[in-house]
Amino acid sequence: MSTEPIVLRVSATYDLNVKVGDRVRLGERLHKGPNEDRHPIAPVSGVVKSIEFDAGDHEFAITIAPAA
Amino acid sequence: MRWIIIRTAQRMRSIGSFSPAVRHFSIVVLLMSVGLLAAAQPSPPKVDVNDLSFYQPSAETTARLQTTGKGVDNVIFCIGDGMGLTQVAMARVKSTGLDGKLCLEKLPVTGLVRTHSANSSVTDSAAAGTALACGVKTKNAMIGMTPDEQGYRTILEAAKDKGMATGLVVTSTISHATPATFASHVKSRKMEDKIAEQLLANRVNVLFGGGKKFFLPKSAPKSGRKDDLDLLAAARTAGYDYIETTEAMQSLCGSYVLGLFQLEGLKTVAPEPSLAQLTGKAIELLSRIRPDSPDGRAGFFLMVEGSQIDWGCHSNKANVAVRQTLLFDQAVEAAVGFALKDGHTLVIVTADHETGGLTLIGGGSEDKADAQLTPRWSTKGHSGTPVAVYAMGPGAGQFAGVQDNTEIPKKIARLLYIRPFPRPTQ
Ligand SMILES: [Zn+2]
Repeated sequence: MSTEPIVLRVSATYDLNVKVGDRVRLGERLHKGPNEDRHPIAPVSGVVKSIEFDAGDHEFAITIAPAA
Repeated sequence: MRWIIIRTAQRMRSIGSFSPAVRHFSIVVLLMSVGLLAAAQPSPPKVDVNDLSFYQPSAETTARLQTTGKGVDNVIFCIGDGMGLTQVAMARVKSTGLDGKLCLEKLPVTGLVRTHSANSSVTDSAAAGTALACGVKTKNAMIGMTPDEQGYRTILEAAKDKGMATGLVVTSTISHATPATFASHVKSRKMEDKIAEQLLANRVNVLFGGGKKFFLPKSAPKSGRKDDLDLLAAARTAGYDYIETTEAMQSLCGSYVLGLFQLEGLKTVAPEPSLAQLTGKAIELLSRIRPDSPDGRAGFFLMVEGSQIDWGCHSNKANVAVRQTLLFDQAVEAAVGFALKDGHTLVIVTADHETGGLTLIGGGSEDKADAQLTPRWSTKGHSGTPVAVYAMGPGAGQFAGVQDNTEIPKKIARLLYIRPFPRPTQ
């Protein structure tokens, strides 16, 4: 399995379930958006390395380093 | 959900697999490229987010007098994106002290606004803007239409149909969610290329902001479009004066002007025009437009957005939020200055939502009370707390009390004798 960091882009509107340094598991919901929306989920288990706000797209770029 | 694997590290590592000579050559070429790029680009303006010297606090804290008994000719609708009550308080404490007042806080009428959207107790700017512009609830991310994709006429479009001049002034891209909701109808806020087309097709008289990239054909460097439409050329053909600098803005005098000062959002620092300068110029231009009405004055509708308060709050950076709130307050001051002289201008100041779940904690001491106030953020996203509305001018009293965000454009419509409102586009 690749160990390269993965960047997920999620809506910046909602409260995030993760913060930098958190361990996430595959399939874990990343924000608290409305139930009818397709929730962004962690595509791998790993550690949240960074969360950057992208103003232009009004999104967070969440970088996850996959677990070795 | 989109995800992208970072490949830069892989590329850098791949250089390591070449012979030392090739590796050295590659690195030199890479460094030269970076150096040449740096030399070719003018250095970007520096923003000192802690420097608030641009803001001159007023010693006067009494409320502006309420104007009564006059009809509304002009409406200046100021929206602080993400500007909750605490963002206002924090900017006040930082700039004027605990007992001071921002310009917007001196408006004589205040109320509270509920902000939930059709699908969430926490709105985004698209749904909130649609509520503030069209008077209807929609789902987050949708622009100028209800969840079933029925377009609704915006208060700006209705004002234009009435013969009023119209304008949008922002510090984001001009096609960002909030300005988009006043003059376009699309399923998603991400469709900024389509939004840009609709802003021009709607013939908004004054368009000031960033986002030039959405007006450039895809063949142009740094274009944000997926097609070959050259909207700058189209704007000129349609009679717009197009400008990109403060100097060019100052000499503008036409009835249709498009000012795009950055490819993306504004930097909010000189040599760009400030939001207050943009607002002042927009008011000057809009108040000069004389339609073919019998009395020669049909008035204007102007929306001004302090777009980047939200951006500072998403990053949980209090100093950025304060600076952007004060820049916005200066724009409000420009609007209020005109309204006081004119007497027929309604100024409304509100927010689309709060961002960051910001509170100020701590108590302070007798000699230095404000020094102990510490900002504390509860989220990096938006919150569902109500926001304030401040108003002055004829009809301002309508905005007192607790109201839903959809009620605000309905009240403006009533004051402008626009009926029916809300109204589907077709
Ligand atoms: Zn936001």
